[in-house]
Order: sequence, then structure tokens, then C-alpha cells
Amino acid sequence: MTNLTAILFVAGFAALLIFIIVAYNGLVRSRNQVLNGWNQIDVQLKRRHDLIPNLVETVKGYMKHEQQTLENVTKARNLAQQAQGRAGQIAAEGALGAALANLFAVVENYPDLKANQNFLSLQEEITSTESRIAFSRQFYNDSVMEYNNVRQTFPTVTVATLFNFSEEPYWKLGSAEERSAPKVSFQS
Amino acid sequence: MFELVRRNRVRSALLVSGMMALLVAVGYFAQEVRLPGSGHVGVMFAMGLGLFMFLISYYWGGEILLSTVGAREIEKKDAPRLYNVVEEMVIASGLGIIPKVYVIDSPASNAFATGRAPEVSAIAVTEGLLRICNRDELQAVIGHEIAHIKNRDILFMTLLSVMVGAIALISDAARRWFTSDRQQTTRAAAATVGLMSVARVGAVMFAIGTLLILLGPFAAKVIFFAASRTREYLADIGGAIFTRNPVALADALEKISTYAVGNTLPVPDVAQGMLIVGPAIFESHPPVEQRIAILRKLAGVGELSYDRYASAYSQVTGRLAGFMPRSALAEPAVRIAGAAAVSSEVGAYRREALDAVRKKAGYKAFLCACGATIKVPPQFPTGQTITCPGCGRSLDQCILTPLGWQ
Repeated sequence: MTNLTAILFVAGFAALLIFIIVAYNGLVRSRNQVLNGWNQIDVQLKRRHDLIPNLVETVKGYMKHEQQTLENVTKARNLAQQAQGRAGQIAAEGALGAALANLFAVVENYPDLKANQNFLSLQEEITSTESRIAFSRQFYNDSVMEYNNVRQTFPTVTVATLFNFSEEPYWKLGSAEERSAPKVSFQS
Repeated sequence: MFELVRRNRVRSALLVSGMMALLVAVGYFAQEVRLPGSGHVGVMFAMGLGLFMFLISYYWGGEILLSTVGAREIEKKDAPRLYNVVEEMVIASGLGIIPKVYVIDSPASNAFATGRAPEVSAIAVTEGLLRICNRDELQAVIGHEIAHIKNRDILFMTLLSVMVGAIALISDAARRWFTSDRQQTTRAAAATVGLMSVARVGAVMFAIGTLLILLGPFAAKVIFFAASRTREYLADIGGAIFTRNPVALADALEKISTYAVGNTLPVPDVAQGMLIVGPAIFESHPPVEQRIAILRKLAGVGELSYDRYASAYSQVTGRLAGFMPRSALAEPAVRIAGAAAVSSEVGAYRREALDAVRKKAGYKAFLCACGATIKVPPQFPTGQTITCPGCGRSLDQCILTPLGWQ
């Protein structure tokens, strides 16, 4: 009798242990995906920052009357580069997105510029970058949703609380301008 | 999103084992009918042939296919937009590996993916497709291909197609042996032995053997193409989830099938499952009109998920989407980005508007026997045969009544 109890006890303990290991590994994998998603956004934001001086340089000669718009872009870019913390970064990038959208809105008034080969290839790069940022944000948010779901639902929530897996924030779109910003469309 | 891959593996394993059983059975009976009692030799031969063919296509299949269609690898500077779009879709899908990018110098508009694993995958796109698709549509096509890669469809389809090929080869050899003159005497002898063995093993076995040899290749193809079709639907919704833009994929498919008149890629039968739009209706791909209708319906819902896709599929086809992995159905829906959520009604208006423009430009419309309307541009040379993009019939088989463009 005591033998059977002992066996049951050991089996139960082993099952619990296995559950904890599986749940813990799942949580770690899920959290790594979130971190990886965030790094991916960082890579794309850096790409955006690197492209902007080049863009401003190319456009400057054509846009004599848009000095203010160009300055806004440069300023927003510098602010975004210096932004600290996730929240600060999200806000600064939002502002930069809006400034860029403004710039591309006025490009429509300069047919010469739209015929410039250099500008055209830059335009493709910026379109792609905006789209990469949008997609990496999308992937990040999907990963956060998956991670938070695992973290908050039973039975994995017990392991998550035990090992202090904290909630990860979504990258929400800030202002209304930013919401329209990532979709920079130049197609004729 | 990540469950789907694992789930697909289980399903793939089941289908592959079924196909392998068919191959073994065909091998067994092909030999047994010829020389009773030696069926095990046939099994060994069938397995050997299958393995040999599998190894070849596993390691070189992609390259063979790419060189058959004359694809050349490109770098970013050769086609920046295409290259960028591939990278964008890699980010959206979380694939983590950038496939090689190939361009095919062909006016046909098509695309396919190859590679047994993401690490060795490649995406090939024709010049024609690059010309007719705008950025969003190109993105949709690439998203569809990346979904194929992510779902490991290529490895699965390679496995299946190899076995289809082996079954065809073996039963073909068996049939030829039966009908050739040189074997007349042996055959007579075999028939006698066969009759004797009929008494021994039973007439049922003999009948099964003959049936398998005759119908095996057909059954294999039916299984293969059915599997291929369901993969197509799954890649459609997978790609649409990556881009969050089902309308762009519907538009791309519409353009591809409109321009597909008269030119297809020289791709072997069993490799057709890899193309974005297949040449024939009852084979590797579902009717393209159906795929478009499902995607447009989905866009009208404003949310994307495997579950929403399954119900749009049922509404369009009147059948249940039984091929949908259950774990995929449980995934939460994602919202479609603002501009992409054009309702299916707007899509229909758009098509009407496009038709009006085509009519004005002197297009002629024909109704094919399969129900597809073929719109032929005025500059299309008269007398040249047209292949129906819907069913693959050539023009002379179609009912050639110009529509009134109602």
C-alpha cells in the first residue's frame, strides 16, 4: 500500500516537473520571439534613419520653396535617433513618419523630381523601408499577442507568475497622421 | 501561425505514407502478375526506385526545375523592387531566412517557390508578372510563395510528386510488358502460371493486382492534385495574413489569369503545384475565379484568419473547408489595414469598371464551355490558339460566341 502511494507520488511529481519544464520553455521561446521582433524593428528604423539624409540631399535642389518641410524631416529624424526607451522611441518615430508623409505629399508638385533616376531609386528604398517597419511592427505585435496569451491563460499562467514573466507592450499607432504615414504610395 | 507548420507535418506524413503504400502495392502486383510468387522483388524495386528519385529531387529538384524554366538568380541591383518585396515578406512572415530570388525571361505571368527547407529555398518570378503587377500585387504574390515555403509545402509536394512519378513508371512498364510481342510466349506461360496461382491465391488478388496497375497512376494523381489544391488555399490565406491585404492577392490573381492567354511555363506536370496559377482546372490548382471570390469575400469581412477564410470558402464553394488544420482555425483574427479593406462589392464595381475600359479598348469577350469569360485584347493575332485560363481548353474547343459585354 505504501509502495503504491510512493509510486503515485513520484509519478505525480514527475508529471508536474515535466509540465513546468515544457511551459517554461514555451514561455521563453515566445518571449525570445518578442525580443527578436523588437530587434527587427530596430534594424528597420536604423535603415530609415540612414536613408533620410540622402533623401533630403537629393530633394533639396528641386524643392526651393519647401525648406521648412525638409527641416522638419531632418529635425524629426535627429529626435528619433536620440529617443530613449520604448515609449519615447514609439512617439519619436511616429512624428518622423508624419514628417515624411508631409514631404512625400509635396513631392507631387515637382514633376522634375519625379523624373530623377536617383530620386526614383531612393523612393523605392523608402517605400520598402516604410513597409518593412510596418511589417516588423505587425510581426512584433503578433508575437506579443501570442506571448501575452500564453502568459495569461491557465495552466501556463502559474509558471509565468512563478518565474516572473512580465507583460510586453504592444507597439500601438499613436496619432492619426502616423496611422496614414506608413502607406507611402508613389505608384502612378 | 507557428502551429500550422507542425500540423502540416503530421498531415503530410499521413498523406505521404498513404502514397507510399500505394507505390508498394503497385510494385508488388506489377511483379506478382508477371511472375507469381516474386512480389517481394517488385516491392524492393518500387522502394528503390522511389528512394532514388526522391534523393535526386530532394537534393537537386529545385535546381533542375529552375534551369528547366530558364530562371536566373538576381541580386538586389538587378530588380530592386522584387528583391525588397521578398525581404519585406520575410519580415512579415518571421521566416528568418531570405530565399534566393530568380527571374524568368518569359512573357507569361507566373511565380513559384522551390527548396525542401527555408534555408535552401528560392522564389522565381517571370518578367511578365513583374511587368503587369503593381507593388502591392507583387507583394501579395510573394507573400503567397513565402507561405508555401513556411508551410513546408515544397518538401511535401516533392515527396508526393516523386511517388506519383514512380507509380506511373512501374505500372507503365507492367502494361507495356503485357502488350509487347516479344514477351508473347513468356506471357502465355505466365498466364498459365497466373491461372494456376489464381486457383491458389484467389481470383480476387489477381483482379486487385490488375486494377491497381491500371488505376494506380490515376489514383496517385488524384491524391496528388487534391493535396496540391488544399495547399493552394492555405498559401492564399497565409500570404494574405502576412500582407494584411487579401484584395491585392485577388487583384494579382485576376491580372495573372487575364494575361495568361496563350502562354504558360514549360513546367512538368507534377511540378505545376508550385506555380501561383496553374494551367488547368481539375488539376494542381483550384479554379482561380474561386480563389479570387473567396479573397474578395474575406476582404468584405474586414478581419483575417483561417477561420474567416474557411467560412468565406464555404460561402463561395458550398462545401466545408475540411482541409483546414484545426489549430489554425483557433487562431485569433487580425484586422485588415484601412485601405486594403475594400469590400467585395467594391471589388465587383471595380471589375465592372475595368470591363468597361476593356470594352472601349476593343477587347472581345468569349464564353468558354467551362463558364469562364475570356477577354481577348484587340492586338491579339487572329488565328492563334487561345488557352482558356480557367480550364485549359484551347480556343477551338470553346463555344465561340462573342458576349454582348452586358
